Amino acid sequence: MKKSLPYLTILLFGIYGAKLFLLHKISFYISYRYELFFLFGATVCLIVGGIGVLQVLAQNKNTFLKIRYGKKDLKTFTKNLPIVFTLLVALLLPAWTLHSASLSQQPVSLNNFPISSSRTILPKNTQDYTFQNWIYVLSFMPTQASISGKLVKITGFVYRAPDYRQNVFMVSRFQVTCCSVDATLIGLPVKSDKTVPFQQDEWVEVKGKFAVFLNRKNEKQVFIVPSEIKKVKEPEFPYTFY
Amino acid sequence: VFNQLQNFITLFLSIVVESLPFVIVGILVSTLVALFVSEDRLVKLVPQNKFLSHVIISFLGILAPVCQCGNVPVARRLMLKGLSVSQATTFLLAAPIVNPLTVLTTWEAFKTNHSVAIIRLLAGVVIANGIGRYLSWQKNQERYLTKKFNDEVCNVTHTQKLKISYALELFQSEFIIIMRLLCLGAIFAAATQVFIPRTILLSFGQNPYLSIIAMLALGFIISLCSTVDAFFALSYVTTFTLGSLLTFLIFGPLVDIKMLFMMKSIFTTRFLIWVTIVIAVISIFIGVIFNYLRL
Repeated sequence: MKKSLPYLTILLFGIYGAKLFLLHKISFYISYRYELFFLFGATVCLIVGGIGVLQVLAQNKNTFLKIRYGKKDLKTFTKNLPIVFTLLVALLLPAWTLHSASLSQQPVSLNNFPISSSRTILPKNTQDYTFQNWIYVLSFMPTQASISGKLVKITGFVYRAPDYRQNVFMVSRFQVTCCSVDATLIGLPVKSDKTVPFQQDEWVEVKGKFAVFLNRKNEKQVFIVPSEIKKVKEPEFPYTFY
Repeated sequence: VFNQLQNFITLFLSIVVESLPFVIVGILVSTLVALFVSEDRLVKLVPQNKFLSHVIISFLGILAPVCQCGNVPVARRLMLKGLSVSQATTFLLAAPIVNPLTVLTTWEAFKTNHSVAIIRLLAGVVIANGIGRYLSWQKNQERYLTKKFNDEVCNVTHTQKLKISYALELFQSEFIIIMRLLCLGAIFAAATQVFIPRTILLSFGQNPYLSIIAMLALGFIISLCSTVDAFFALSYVTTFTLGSLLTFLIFGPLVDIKMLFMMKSIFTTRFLIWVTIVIAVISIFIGVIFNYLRL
């Protein structure tokens, strides 16, 4: 039994990979570009761990369940606590996306977004624009007035900084390059003519059009003026990927 | 508190999920080296000239373009196969930067200023060779290794078995050693991210000196993979000085929280502190010069 523990550990990492794949949760942690590579790693773990466990089982058929633990085992267990903790958290807890509580740690950015280039092809209808399309347009627009009146339909979570008024929020997404560790918040500001009842981190779909207002610093800024805001379920792919 | 805890777990698992395939590739390479490369062949492959041997080893990352966490098991195996401490250190420090994936992604990310990619590559080669050569002049290089790993190196049995069970045994022992430290490093890196506000670091963005220190600290904390960190740095290009981003791109792949924990499977704490300080000083120096010359 003791001999099979390292192989069992490898197998459990493989099972964790399979769990993420089957539940479509890999994108909660890493960019879609690395999914195949991650699956390769998880598959190797499943194969090596599986063969290893079976081999130890075959070699120790009669003694497998006769286990005696001593002080040395306790020491080994303590040494491997980080692995035990990781596997417990990974296998027993549900997969979570990042929460806006991390925003004191993550930069909130609209203009620092790395624009991939002129290769971006925009859909004909502005209501079909994705988050990335809008950020691209906002970064390259010649004047703010040029975007005024454009129709928008976008899904994101509600982010409200402590100093925002009750009728203002950002419809937001986390932008990920490689993995959640490098997540940066991107968002489009929404300004309603009445108090917005949605809570921080609630997922909403906002329909409306862009208009230019003066912000608190008396600078011109584009906001979405919503015609409809409705609560929606968290999407399967909650992040946007660069 | 629950939300913070939730973020901690997401970030922590994100580091593990991102690193796992790189570690697996590293362990597979390490196992293949153990099975198919004999000590004699390795010694023959490495030139006798010390300077030349370090230079060649610093380009080995081209053959196995994995990020830094995948290189730790390979470096361990190379030492078990007879490479000296200085040669293995050169490989470990060079491979994360001197590999085609890192060069390509940096080139692509900073396509408006290719000097970033060029200086990053040169800095990687120079730092790895400089530290490696310095170590090669030391008489007793083994004193930089942990007692446990040094015993392993001294007592290694040079047998060439090709049985599957032997390959499995090598794989599992390396996996447990590396994953134990990777998980511990990921716990620390995620905790630091959740509990130290990054906004403090980001407020130094345009100061030519403080921005460098801030990006150095950020690179150390977030423990990103070297093959993708250029795109992350790019998102700071309008708020931070270019020199500070270069410091981030040079220091981050060589030394970060996760990596230090993993390198602890080979080197003593004292040696790791020394290496961290040396690389930090050189990275800061390059960043300052870059900002000064406004390249």
